[in-house]
Amino acid sequence: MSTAVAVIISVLVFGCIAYPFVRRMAGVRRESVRGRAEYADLDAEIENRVRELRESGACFCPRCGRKVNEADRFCAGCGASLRQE
Amino acid sequence: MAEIGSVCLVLALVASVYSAAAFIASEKGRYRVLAESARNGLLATCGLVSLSVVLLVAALLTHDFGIQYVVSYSSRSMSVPYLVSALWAGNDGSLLTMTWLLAVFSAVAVVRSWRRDRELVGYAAAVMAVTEAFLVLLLVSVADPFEQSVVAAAEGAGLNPLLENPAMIVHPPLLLGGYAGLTIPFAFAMSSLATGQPGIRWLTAVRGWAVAAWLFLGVGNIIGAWWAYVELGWGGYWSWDPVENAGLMPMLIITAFLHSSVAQRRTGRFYAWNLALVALAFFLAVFGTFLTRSGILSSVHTFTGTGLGGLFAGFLGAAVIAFLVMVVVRRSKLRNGTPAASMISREGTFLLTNVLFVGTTALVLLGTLFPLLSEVFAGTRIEVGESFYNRVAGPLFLVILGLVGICSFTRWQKRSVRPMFADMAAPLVVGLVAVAVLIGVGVRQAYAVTGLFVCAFAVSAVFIRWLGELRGRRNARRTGYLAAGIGLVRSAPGRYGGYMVHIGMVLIAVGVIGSSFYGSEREAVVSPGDTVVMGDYELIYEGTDRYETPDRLVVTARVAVESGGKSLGRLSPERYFHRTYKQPVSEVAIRTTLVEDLYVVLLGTDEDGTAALKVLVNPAVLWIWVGGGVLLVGGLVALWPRARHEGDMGSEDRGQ
Amino acid sequence: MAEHRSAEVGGHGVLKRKRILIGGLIVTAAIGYLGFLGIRGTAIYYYTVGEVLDQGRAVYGETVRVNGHVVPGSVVTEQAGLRMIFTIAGQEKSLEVLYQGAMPDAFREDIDIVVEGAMDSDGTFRARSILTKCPSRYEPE
Repeated sequence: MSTAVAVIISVLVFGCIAYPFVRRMAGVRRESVRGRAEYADLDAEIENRVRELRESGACFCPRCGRKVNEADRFCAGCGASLRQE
Repeated sequence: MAEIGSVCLVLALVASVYSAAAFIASEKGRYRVLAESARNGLLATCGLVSLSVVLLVAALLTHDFGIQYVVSYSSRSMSVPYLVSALWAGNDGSLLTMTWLLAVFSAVAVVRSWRRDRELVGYAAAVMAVTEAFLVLLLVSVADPFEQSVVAAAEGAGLNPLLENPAMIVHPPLLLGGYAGLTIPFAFAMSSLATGQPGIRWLTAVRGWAVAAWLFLGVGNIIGAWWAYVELGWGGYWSWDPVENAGLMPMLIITAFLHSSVAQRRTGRFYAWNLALVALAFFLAVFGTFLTRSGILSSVHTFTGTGLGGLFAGFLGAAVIAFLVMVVVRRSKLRNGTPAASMISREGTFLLTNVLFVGTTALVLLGTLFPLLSEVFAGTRIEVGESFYNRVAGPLFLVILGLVGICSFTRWQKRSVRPMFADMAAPLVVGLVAVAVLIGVGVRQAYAVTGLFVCAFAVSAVFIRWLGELRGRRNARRTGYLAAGIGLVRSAPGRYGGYMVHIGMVLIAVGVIGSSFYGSEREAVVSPGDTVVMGDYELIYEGTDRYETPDRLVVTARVAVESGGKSLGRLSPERYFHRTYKQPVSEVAIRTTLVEDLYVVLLGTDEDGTAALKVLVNPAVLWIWVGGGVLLVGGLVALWPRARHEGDMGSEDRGQ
Repeated sequence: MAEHRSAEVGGHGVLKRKRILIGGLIVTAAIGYLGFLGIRGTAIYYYTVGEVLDQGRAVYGETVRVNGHVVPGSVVTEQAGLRMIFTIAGQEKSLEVLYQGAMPDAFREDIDIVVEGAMDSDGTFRARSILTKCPSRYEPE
């Protein structure tokens, strides 16, 4: 009995690991459908990113354009002063 | 069932090794599919180790004495909570618990950072997977929790009665979780070096995990201290045992990191320092686990004779070398940011605090390793007594507390001496008033007075600053104090959690100072009717009772407590003799008030009714546990996610 | 304004950095000295039974720690447990120990312990404290 359980678990684990490959190979055949799905994914991701930026109180360094925290005084990338004093 | 457990662990080893390799390969070659497969491998590892844990717990609950571990650490008479806690009572099981916690934390960290920190998550996950693989390797080779028992036993050895205390159900998993949790920041640190990402990216990935690991270790240590106090019967709560030190040192380092990471966010500096701190915390955690399992230093707790020492030492060595190699290879990326404005700016005091924390850790490590070092380099073994740590850690912690107060008045990137002295006047006055009151009440010991002055100063500094910010927000938004308070905490939970933690630490310090300098103890042999006078208390020993339960013989002493003729109740210290366990166990009787604890231990009895009692008066011990509770609340607040729209107004955020 | 600020910081940067570095080194040195004093003041030699007996007169009166095995049958308790006399053995030598104080719960016969105290000129060891190891497993009777 325990051998059977062990085999089942092994198959499940192997399945987890192999799944992304299987999906990728299956996806090659359904190009157009996958394409649309990918764009939908991309849209969702852009939405998420923009929302994250808007909500995180982030700003951009005027000198190098890098995203910095609202409370920082100096840009972590180029060292420019971020305060108007 | 045991065979399935072993299979799960072997599969977990395969999955985690694959996961590590696949993550590294996916980063090098930018193969997203491989990364997803590697992530699934990590999730599968988590599932497999979780299943192993479930199987072992089930074996404990069903008394499956075919498994050696169940025989060694459980018995039929144990209740369900203690049967479950037997999972971490012995070496193999506690290793399995830590492996499981790391698997869960890794899975959560990787899933959470999959989108948020996608540049860093690959290598970080690889490091987590490698660590997990190492632990599983131990479980599969030298520390197999599912090992079959040599002789089929009908009953197990049961629980050491000293461990039969609710605190012992939570203390080990908290510390194990703390150690496991420190892997995540280290993993992201390595990833930051490997990918060459800007220094600040890894901080956002890591902050929550650092606070969580700190909280696990802090609360775990305090619960351990509480257990030692009520259970071990020597009247103290911390003995600077190597195993206790092993749980303290990573916590001190990660505390330093929590401060300097804020400094890095504000000034862009300290990148290399923060990487080193996080790595050091991880190395100390591995080292601490190594200490407990190799028996290399004798202490009260060590699991002895397990043969794991060499493997842990090897892993630690490999991790240190890997880190140093990465630092050298990426050294050009490590210099950036603005220099500290001066020693008296906030980043200056943060740096000083860091030096103090690291220095204290170094000295504790030196004391812990001294016997080993002296034996290796000088031929004779020299140990350092408990007093070494008290003499060294005491002053350093006091200076750190002083900085807690001073730091409230510093500003980022500004040399703020003059405004600082003006602001500090109020807390200094509070401190002096406290000193006056103490001296009036009879507290004269120089160290105690100095210590309590610093505590009063620090706590009033924190409160004054908090009130100032509260008032500022209330005025800016025209709301009541309560709404302002809640809004304030929600806007910057890290900062206000930090304030609470500081207050908690002051409370703990007060408790430690009180009990260290003003404790008293005595031992007495008494016959029924005798009175022992201790301070303001009269303890009247009335006699002993004996009774038997299914698993033990209990001897109880009846002691009436009075003060100035007024009855304060009774205390019943006990001593019991387990049927299957050779050693007698004392149950201490404690009468706790805000001012002091009256602590009575029954040392022994004679047939004629005489008893040997040990009586201690420990001032202010309750403050330690209360402080611990405040610490817990503060830590939880600090973990709360920041309310997004709150942080854009108000003076409390403008560079202060 | 931003440029002025950076220049100001940059110009004094090297001096400031040196000052902070020196400050840090002073603090580190102070901590190191504290540690040195601590070790000098609290170091205790640690011997096995055989080693401490080999030391002979040299260790009389000096606080040391001795590791030995409690000989079964050698434990005598007096004063309802407040005073104990027992023998510890190691390297085929044995040492009699006198201990005044509370017996630690984990203490019993036939275990390894460490006693801290001083050798008396009469050859017995006056122990001030006993350190035991918490067993992670125990044998039922």
